[in-house]
Amino acid sequence: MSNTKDFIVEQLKTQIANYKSEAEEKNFGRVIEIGDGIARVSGLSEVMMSEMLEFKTDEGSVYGVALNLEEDSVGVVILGEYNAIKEGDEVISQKRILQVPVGENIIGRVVDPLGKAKDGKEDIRTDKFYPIEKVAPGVITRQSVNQPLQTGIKAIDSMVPIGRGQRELIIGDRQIGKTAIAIDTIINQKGKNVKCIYVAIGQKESKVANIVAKLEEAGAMDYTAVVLAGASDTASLLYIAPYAGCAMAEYFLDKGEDVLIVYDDLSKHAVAYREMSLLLRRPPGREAYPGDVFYLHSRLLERACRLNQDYGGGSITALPIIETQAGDVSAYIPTNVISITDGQIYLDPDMFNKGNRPAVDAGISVSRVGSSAQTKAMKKVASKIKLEIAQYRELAAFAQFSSDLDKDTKAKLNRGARLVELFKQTQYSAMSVSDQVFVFFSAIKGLLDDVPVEKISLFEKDMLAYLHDQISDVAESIDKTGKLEEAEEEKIKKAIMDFKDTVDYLVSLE
Amino acid sequence: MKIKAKQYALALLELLKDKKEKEISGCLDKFIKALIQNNQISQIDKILDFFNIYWNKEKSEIDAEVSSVEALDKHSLKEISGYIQTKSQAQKVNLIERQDKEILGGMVLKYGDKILDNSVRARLRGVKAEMLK
Repeated sequence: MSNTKDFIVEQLKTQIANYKSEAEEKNFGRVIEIGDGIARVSGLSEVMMSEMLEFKTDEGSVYGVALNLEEDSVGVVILGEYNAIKEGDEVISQKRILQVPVGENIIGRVVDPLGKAKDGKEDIRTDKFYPIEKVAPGVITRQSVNQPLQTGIKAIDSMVPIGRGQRELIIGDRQIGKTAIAIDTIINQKGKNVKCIYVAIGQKESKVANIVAKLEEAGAMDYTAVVLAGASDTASLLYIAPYAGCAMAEYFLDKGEDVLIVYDDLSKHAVAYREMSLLLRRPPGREAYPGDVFYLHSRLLERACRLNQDYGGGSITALPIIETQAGDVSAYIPTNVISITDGQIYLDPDMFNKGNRPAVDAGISVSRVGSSAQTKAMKKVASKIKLEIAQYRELAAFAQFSSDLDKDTKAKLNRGARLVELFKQTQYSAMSVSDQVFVFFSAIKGLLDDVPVEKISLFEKDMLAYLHDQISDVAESIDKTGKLEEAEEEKIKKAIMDFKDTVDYLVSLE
Repeated sequence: MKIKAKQYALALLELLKDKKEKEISGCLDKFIKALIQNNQISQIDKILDFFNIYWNKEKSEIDAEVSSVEALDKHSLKEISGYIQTKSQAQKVNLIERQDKEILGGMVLKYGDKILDNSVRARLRGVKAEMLK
């Protein structure tokens, strides 16, 4: 016993002996003005942009970030509680840009934007720190998107495919399933070697608690970290949250891994930045946002990338979320983010209310680079789907007014109604690539045309169970190679025909 | 256009630059009168702050403050002044002494907007941070 004690004492002694202190000359200033989380500080002649500043208060140190460097004062936003700061308090510059802890240890944890634990577990110990603001990778280091990121959602993987390294916006009104898509995508990354980071910006903490519980239940927290700046946090924390999340993602990128990062949501981020900017007395522009609100999001989303093999070959896929007001996509922030990203998934309230969930609008939703990353098998079946859905939409609007239609139109309407039915998918029911290929294959080959619309989902479920039983080798080869050979097509067709013989609810086609 | 506190301070400095002590009080009277006339006498605190800064710059003077637990002897004070002079390249150092028991030992030196914390308190904090890592 006494041996252990001696050992500990000895260890402490050597540690203290090894500690070398060096007095360093630092810049200091004094608080001139404080309020609303913004301080104006005199002095600090050599302060850097977004440098960490330490406020010495009676109740310990509080940290802030220098954001406005003016002629004879510095505008500072305070990170966290600012009630203890008084006028005249000393402010000492730290000579380092704001940085966050990064590493493997944050996986499976809920942290605040400064890397402190928020899940009630032990502190996060890492020896690596990354600056929250980093210039995005340049042209030389990049490569075009060439690997798919499966969301497991039929409507997205077929019509608006997402590739690793892409930035795909999820946009729509409140309560329409934007977060659900992101969470489903995170859950679907299980076993696909993708690390996930979910950044909650200004979300209700109860909602985040629900999400974390769901992720844990699905086993997704083994590869996911949650960065939380809740609705009750100050605007400054909301502002740095996505940058901090991106810095944590860049650690895995530098190791050559693939990362998926969800920013939920950037409209609240813009509002937090507007609050800060107005308090810093920067002039307001359109919708009272400051002039650099475009740069705010573009510099964040540019950090999503696909690096080439010479630079590690990692990727960061970004799924920013924007909440629109009453479906208005032409407001300031939505148009900005739409123009920055490589496509958007638009969720339509009418479709949502009709029960077509996920309510992905096939007309407005696009993916500008994802199709080059789609697997060959999926491309083969999905290219026709998009065309048929588009034709159906046009005809459906037109067919409402006329009663007798020619045979061709009727067939198209029939097919379209079945496709719309196929795209319905409940939450937390991700589908593998092979399953999606089977389903779409049956639709484009006309094998669903004699299945009643209301029986489609039942037919789909039973058919997949049957196919898994009968032709599991085909499913495996599609999942493995991503290709669909002609011989396999024949096999699938035959299996589906066999299955159709076993069901009794088919209708006859004229 | 409204004249800013900074401009007043600069004007005052120009005014007093090469004046003898006798003339100064007259100049100040006129300056205050002008301020009252322009309805800006409330700015006087700000003007004085700026005047202080510009005066120090002009005369190459620097304000400094040294805190220690016990009063420093003359030799140390001279050394400190010398250090500040070489570091800041000021002609004259206005050094203020302060006693502060809270720093436990060593000294804390402030000049201009620089701080050199070589106190026992700061070093203990450093040890604490190092051991918690």
